[in-house]
Order: sequence, then structure tokens, then C-alpha cells
Amino acid sequence: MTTRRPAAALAPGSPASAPLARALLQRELRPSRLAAAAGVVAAAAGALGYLLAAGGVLGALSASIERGATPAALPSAALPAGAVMERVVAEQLLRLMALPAALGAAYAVMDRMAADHKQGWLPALVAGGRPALRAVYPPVVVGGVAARTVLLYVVATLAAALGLARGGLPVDAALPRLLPGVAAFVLAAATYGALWGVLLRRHAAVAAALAAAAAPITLVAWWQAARGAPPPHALLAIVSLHLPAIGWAADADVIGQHLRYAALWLALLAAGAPYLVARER
Amino acid sequence: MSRGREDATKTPGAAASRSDWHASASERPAGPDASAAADGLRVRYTDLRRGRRVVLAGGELALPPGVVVALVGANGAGKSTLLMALARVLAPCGGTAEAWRDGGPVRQLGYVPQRPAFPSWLPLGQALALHGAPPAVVAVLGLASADGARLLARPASALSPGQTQALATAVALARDDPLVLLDEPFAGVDLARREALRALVAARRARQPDAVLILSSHVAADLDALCDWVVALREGRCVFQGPRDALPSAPGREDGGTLEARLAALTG
Repeated sequence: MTTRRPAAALAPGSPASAPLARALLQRELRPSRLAAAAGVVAAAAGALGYLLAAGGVLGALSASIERGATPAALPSAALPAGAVMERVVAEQLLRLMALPAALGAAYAVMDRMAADHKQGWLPALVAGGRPALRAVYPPVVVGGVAARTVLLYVVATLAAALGLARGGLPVDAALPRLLPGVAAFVLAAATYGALWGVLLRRHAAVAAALAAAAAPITLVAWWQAARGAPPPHALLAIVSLHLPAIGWAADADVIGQHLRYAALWLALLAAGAPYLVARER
Repeated sequence: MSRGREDATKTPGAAASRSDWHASASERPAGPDASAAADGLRVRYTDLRRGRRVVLAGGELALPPGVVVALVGANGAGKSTLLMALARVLAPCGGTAEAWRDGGPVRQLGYVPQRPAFPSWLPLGQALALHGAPPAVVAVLGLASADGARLLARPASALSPGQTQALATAVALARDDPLVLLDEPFAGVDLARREALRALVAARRARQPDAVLILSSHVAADLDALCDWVVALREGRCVFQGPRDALPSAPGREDGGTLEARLAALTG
């Protein structure tokens, strides 16, 4: 048996951050699973786009526009009726796709972190590595899940556009404008998910407090992305208790805000990671 | 080893808990006194909790360099909790433990939890690299070189629980950490692999004579073969620390009794 070979022949080493980051990204971006998920998502989004364009939803939206119920986010400038209708349909479609994507991303982050802790490899790894290893883990998990979600979201959007076109509705103007904002929203949701995922491993009270702080922000983000309209003042008032800067703004600012808040939460997560990652109560 | 035993007999069988060392769970252990053993390893721990229950009262262990420590105690005595705290796997709110050596804390250590695993989505070779271990550690599984090479290309999830346990222990022993914590490293491991692991422990001691290995186990034969120092926990307290030769005799045994009998009497 070769086990009796002198252990001195074994090269000493210790876990490092770069291989961990590579491994975590590798998990999220496995080509076979990504291709399978993209196939399912594209088929669903394409069918949805086709049904929206060719089915009864389009008729209902057209009727609401004719009654003057255009969403407030749309520019007030007089647009050709067809263009307004196209944008409304596109936003409706993106709303239908964005929320599941964001919730899925947040769930995936929590699921990954819980599994990594429970399976035992992460605690053993961080115990043997430098402190940076604990700090690297959460952002990479979030980044990997967000990257995968955004990839799938792009696939879904393209498929939906094809579906809309097949249904007789060109959407080339509306989709590119909405895509970055929703992608930022997905990233923010994944970040919040990571935060909860890590904290839920520790102390229920702390997790509840942080969730209470983050939930209104998430709700505002969802409202902006999904409704295309300013959130109610009551909701903004609650959020302003935590983060006074948040509020409704033009599209470019909204995207920037989402990214800033995502960066803020990620920074907090990275700062607290050495005390949170791979810990058992 | 004789030197370790000599040092240890200066604190023979002393209970680990010191009257001045019962910190609250939120406190971090302070560094050792300047008078602490200069070349040994000190382990200081606060009250360690699981939920609200104090599993192990705060205390201090003085471990000579190069010893293999048997961490023994009945189920629930706090063995795993102490190892988790040392590995910084126990949340700070559950208490903290720190090992000190040469006046500074030991930050990097090898740790094998009770139920170890490797990242299931990675080929085994990559999983080993992630842990900083060379592919050669698969030799502990007793495979021919071709079989070992094939195994390295397969997902880590292909290993059986016993193989995973043996390989995770071998990975921890392959590195050069000054402190290695093994939580029941032989659980579920077959006899041949168990023998291989013992050989790895011996080889590691030869390679790094100052390193301290702490292993918890309920199997007296393994402890008998490997350990020269004993830390015994009972009902949430350390009731003995010292060389195995200094273990109290088993009740009613003039010859002192076997190691198993002595440990059983000590830990209940």
C-alpha cells in the first residue's frame, strides 16, 4: 500500500482565495446546466412574448391606454399610440420575468450558502486558510449567482423579443432601455439574499433586524422595476428611516441607486464576513 | 516526547479551568501570560455555548510541543464544540477559543469536522487542490496508481463516506499547520485505511516534530496507538489534562487497568 510513503514527500500548502473563487464560479456556470436552464427559460419567455403579442393581454393593454391609463413612468411627450403600446407590453413582459429571476437569485444564494456550511467542506477550508478566505466567499457566491441569473435573463429577454416579433409586435426600442435597470435589480436582490443567507446561519434576532432593514428597500426596488411607477409615499417613508437617500428618480438614477445599494451591502458583507462565514451556532 | 511528558507533569492531572479564567461567552480569550510555556501551545477558551446551554466551561490547556492529544469525553461532553471553537467555526456568540504559541495566536490550522466533505461539483483532484493538498494524498485510499488517477478525475461526490473521512484526514495531515484538529477521524473508516491514517500521523510527527495534533475519538485502540497526552472532559468541564501515563487508575484495578478502562472511569 502506498500510504506508507513518507509524508515529507507531500508538498505543504494551504487553501487560497483564487482557487476558491474559481471553484464557486465554476459551480454556477457549469455549461451543461447553464444550457439546460437557458433552454427552459428561453422556451418559456418566447412563448410568453408570443402570447402577450398575439393574445388577449395585448388587447387589454391597448384598451387601458386608450382610456388614458398610461403608467406614470412613461414620458409625457406625445408618442404615437403604437409606440406607447409597445413599451407597455415590453414592461409588462419584463415584469413577469424579472420578479421570478430576482427571487430565484436570492433563493439560490441562500441555498448555496446553507449547503456549503452544512456539507462541511467550507468550515474545514476556511479554518485552514488565511482570513481573506472568509471575506472572499460571500461576494463570489453572490457574483456567481448574479452572473448566472443575468445570463439567463438576457437569454429570456432575447427569446421574449423573438416571441413578441413572432406575434407581430416589434420591441426593439423598449427592451434595450429596460434591460440594465432590471439587471441591476437582480443583482441587488441577489445581494440581499446573500446577506440574509449568511445572517440566518447565525443569530435569528440579528437576521430579523437586517431583514427588516433590507425588505423595504427590496420592495421599493421591485416596485420600480415591476410597476414602472413611483412607490407609495408610505413605503418611501419607511425606507427613508433606514436609508434617507432612497427615492424615486429617473431611470438612469434608479439604475445607479440599485448598483450603489448593492455595492453597499456587499461591502458590509465583506467587512463582516470574517465573523460570519462558516460559523455554527 | 519525553520532553513533553516532563513538561506536562508540572501540571499533572490539573483541571483545566482556572479560577481566574471564567470569562463570559462574548469575551475573547486573552493572550497567555509571559510566564506561559515558551515553546508549548496554550489553548484558552471562554464558556462555550450551543444555544443558551453552556456545553463547556471556560478553561485553559497547556500542551507541550509535538504531542498527539486524545480529547476524550462522553457524548455531549463538549469535544466537538471545543474543536469547532478552536477552528473558529463556532459563532462568536457561542464562545471563543484560541491557541497561542511563542506569544502569538495560531491563526492557521488543519481542521477535519465530524462529517467532512469535499465540494461535490468539483473533480476530486481540483477539490484537493482547493484544500492545498497534493493529489498524492489519495494514496491513503489504498488504490493502485491508475485507479487513483481515475479517481482524481471523478467528482468528489463519488467517494463513500468512509473514503471521504479518510481522505479529509489525510488532507489535513498533508499540510504543515502547527495545529491540527481531528474530530473523530476514524469514524466509518475501514481497518486498512485506519492503519494508513495512523501511519500518516506518525509520518507527520516525524516531518514536523513541534506540531500539535488534537484528535477526539471513542476508539481506545486508536488513542492507544497514537496519543501521548490526554485531555478529558466530563459534564462540561475539563477534568484531566496530562500525559497518558499520569491517568488515574481505573477503580478496583491494582495494575491501573487498560487505557480504555481508565478513560471510561475518568469521563463517565
